[in-house]
Amino acid sequence: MPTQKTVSNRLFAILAKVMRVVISKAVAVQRQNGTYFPVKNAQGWQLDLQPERTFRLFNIFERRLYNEFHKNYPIQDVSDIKSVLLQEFGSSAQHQISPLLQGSRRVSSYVFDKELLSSVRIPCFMLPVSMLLAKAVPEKNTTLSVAENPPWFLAKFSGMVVSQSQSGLISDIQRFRFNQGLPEDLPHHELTAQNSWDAVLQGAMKVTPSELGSFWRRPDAAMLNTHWQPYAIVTVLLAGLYMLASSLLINHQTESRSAQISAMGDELNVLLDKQLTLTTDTTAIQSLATFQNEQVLVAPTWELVSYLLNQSAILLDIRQSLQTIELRGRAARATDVLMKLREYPLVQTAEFTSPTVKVENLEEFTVRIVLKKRATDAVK
Amino acid sequence: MPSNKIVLLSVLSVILVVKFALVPWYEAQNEQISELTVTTRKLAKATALQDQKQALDAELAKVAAIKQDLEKSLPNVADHNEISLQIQSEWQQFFEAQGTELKLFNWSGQAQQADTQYWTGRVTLTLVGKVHQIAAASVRLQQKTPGLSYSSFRMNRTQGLAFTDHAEAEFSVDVLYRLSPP
Repeated sequence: MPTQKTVSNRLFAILAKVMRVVISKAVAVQRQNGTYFPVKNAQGWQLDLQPERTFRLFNIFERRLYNEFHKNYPIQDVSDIKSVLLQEFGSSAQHQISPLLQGSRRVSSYVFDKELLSSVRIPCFMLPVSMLLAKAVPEKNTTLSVAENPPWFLAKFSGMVVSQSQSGLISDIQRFRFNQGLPEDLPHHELTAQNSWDAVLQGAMKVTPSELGSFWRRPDAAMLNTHWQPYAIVTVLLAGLYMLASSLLINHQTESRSAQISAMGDELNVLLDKQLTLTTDTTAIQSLATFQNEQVLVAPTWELVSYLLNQSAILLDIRQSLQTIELRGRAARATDVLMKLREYPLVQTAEFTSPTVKVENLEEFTVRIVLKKRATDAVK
Repeated sequence: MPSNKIVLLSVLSVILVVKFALVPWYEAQNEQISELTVTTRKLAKATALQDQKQALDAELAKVAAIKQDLEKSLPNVADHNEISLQIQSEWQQFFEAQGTELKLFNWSGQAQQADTQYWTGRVTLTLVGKVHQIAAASVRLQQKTPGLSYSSFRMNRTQGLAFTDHAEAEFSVDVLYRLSPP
């Protein structure tokens, strides 16, 4: 039985083999004099020159094939920055956008050789060598000089990566540091051409997917016009795959949830019955409560009749409909009766509904009274 | 093949693909999504119910006790005629005992209370007797019948009403009862 260590060793071996295949089949190094393919041998990774310029999925560009610009933009929105960068650098540049404080962003722009770009026929990743080399260096703050032809310098300081080719003005590492405003005491490493490419391939392994996305070069319209068939096939295949996969996923989710519900079985039915009973009982209680709240009592009406008879009024007609009572009667002064009624605690409103008339020295009145709800509740 | 024919064939192919592949797939997908949404809701409800099982049992017991308590005072009958006859006979005796005469008892109809077992029957009554007896009888009737509500009341006398006078009063009352068909 294989131990855990043996299994993980085997997995690492498989992974390393896969990475070797990916590097040797999908990576190309673009240099001034042509394309180089990485080949693994006993001494490590070697670069073999190919007779024709060829592009692969991952293309690493040597330093002299691009120019580097680093700027801060006071723009928060990434799509706005991209529009500005397109105006400023055109389509031959790739940009790495990273957030800064106070809503601004720092952009590292890599402007590639236009003549070289015109020969790119496939969509691919275009990776500047300085960015990859900086990934390979473990120190946070350091400088490097790479002994290529022409030599170039790289500085990694406070999260920024800056590189420059040697020129009349930048003739050595001191002048490069001075030009970039870097401290004199930064640790420094010198790399040979061979060492640097080994380090570049190691750095390539450390690039994150989001960083990789910044260096993706989309196919342009002219390329699509002449080479549309593979894109059409891939698009149709992807669309078909999406249609199939999404349908299968939805079906799987539905079936799995239905199975979960079925697994609950009779217990669920019992619970549903109980919930239905609870709802029915609650509705019943609410219905009874509503009836009780709207219940009209007769006692307050009789209490009011008794009160009026005690005020020496003669009552001829009493009509009650829910909380409203209409009384017709006679008294020496109808307004006195109305005043008494308005003062009575059970009465909410009282008003004459028709003009008072004199009958046998008494005033005949018709008054409409609305009883207070709380008064009837109090009686209850 | 001329290029315009190629364009026409391409357009036709796209239309056919949309009509016979994309649209049916889209409709089927929508149907599947609706089914998934319903199933997801069912599952969420079922899970929530399982989680609240104890609380549900406690709430059910509490509500059942309240309902039983409220129902205690309500007449329980098998059909509407039964309640009509039952209260007519009962009330006739009651009013006689109160010194009044039930001159008219008319069951006008009944209505269901929401979607429950409870119904309200509308009864028109005419009572004859002394005013104080009518007053006392109407108040006592409501005291002994908690599910009773006076919807209207009318009484008149051309010579004027006094508690000792003989008069006739018309009442319209709603009676709450429980219908439990056998």
